[in-house]
Amino acid sequence: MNEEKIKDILKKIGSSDIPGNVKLIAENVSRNFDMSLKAVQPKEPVFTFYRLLAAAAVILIAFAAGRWSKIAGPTPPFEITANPVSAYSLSDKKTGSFWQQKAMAAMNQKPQASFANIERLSAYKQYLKEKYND
Amino acid sequence: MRYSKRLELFEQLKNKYEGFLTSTLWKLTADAEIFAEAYQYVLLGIWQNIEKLNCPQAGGYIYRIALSANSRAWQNRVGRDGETNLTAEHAEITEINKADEELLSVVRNEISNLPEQQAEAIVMRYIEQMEYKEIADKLNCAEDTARSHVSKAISTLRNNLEDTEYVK
Repeated sequence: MNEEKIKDILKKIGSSDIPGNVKLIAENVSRNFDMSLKAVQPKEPVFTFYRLLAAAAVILIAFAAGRWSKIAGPTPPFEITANPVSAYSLSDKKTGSFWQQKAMAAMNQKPQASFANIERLSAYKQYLKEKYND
Repeated sequence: MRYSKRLELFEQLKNKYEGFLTSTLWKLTADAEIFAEAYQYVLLGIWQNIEKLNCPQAGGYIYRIALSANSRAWQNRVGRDGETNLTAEHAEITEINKADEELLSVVRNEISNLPEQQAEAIVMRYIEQMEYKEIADKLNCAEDTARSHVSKAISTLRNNLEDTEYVK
């Protein structure tokens, strides 16, 4: 077979008509392929990267807005000139804490006043005895 | 690329190249079963390479996908039947005699076995009836190179057909 013969065959192939039913076959194949594509369509994940990023941004903005609102509050209508007074006196720190004071109190001797009172009571009883016996 | 975007692009490409694919694949197969199989392979190829096809040179890729699909469909057919005879349906459509019908079938099968560039060049030249300049543009090569591809393709076909009973 020479090359001219092959060229003739190729030209014959190239000039052949396309029958109508070929388009129908192509449409059927295409439709089936589309259906299979839609059947395997994956569900889009709820937490995509961009959604997570957006959520993180919203949280950060809310946090920052909260902080700024505390820092930049409304200025008082008067000028503060006095020194701020602490709720906890510095003198307490010098004398020790509450429990230190309790411990110190426990270690201290009881005041003599109570013994003095007992002595007075005994004296009073003696006085009464002497008074009514006499 | 998002799935919905892929689907949209796929539809665009399919609509754009539907006519070309139907015409070329039918001329290369001339058989309803092989044509349907090749067409499926083309659609699959477009879907799998959709990101590459989102460019101005998509036509060249589609050509390669179509010829590759044609080769696969022919290989499957020859593998199943062990012969390349056309169906009776096609014989009625083309109204050519039995000997020519078989010869055309053998040539089509041999085209599917050609190296990629030779197959592209010969299909563009004789099936699509393009000028060499257009072929060179599509293949992104010089006009002489395009001629060389066509010439080599014919030579390869001749060599391959020498072993068949159709050489006279």
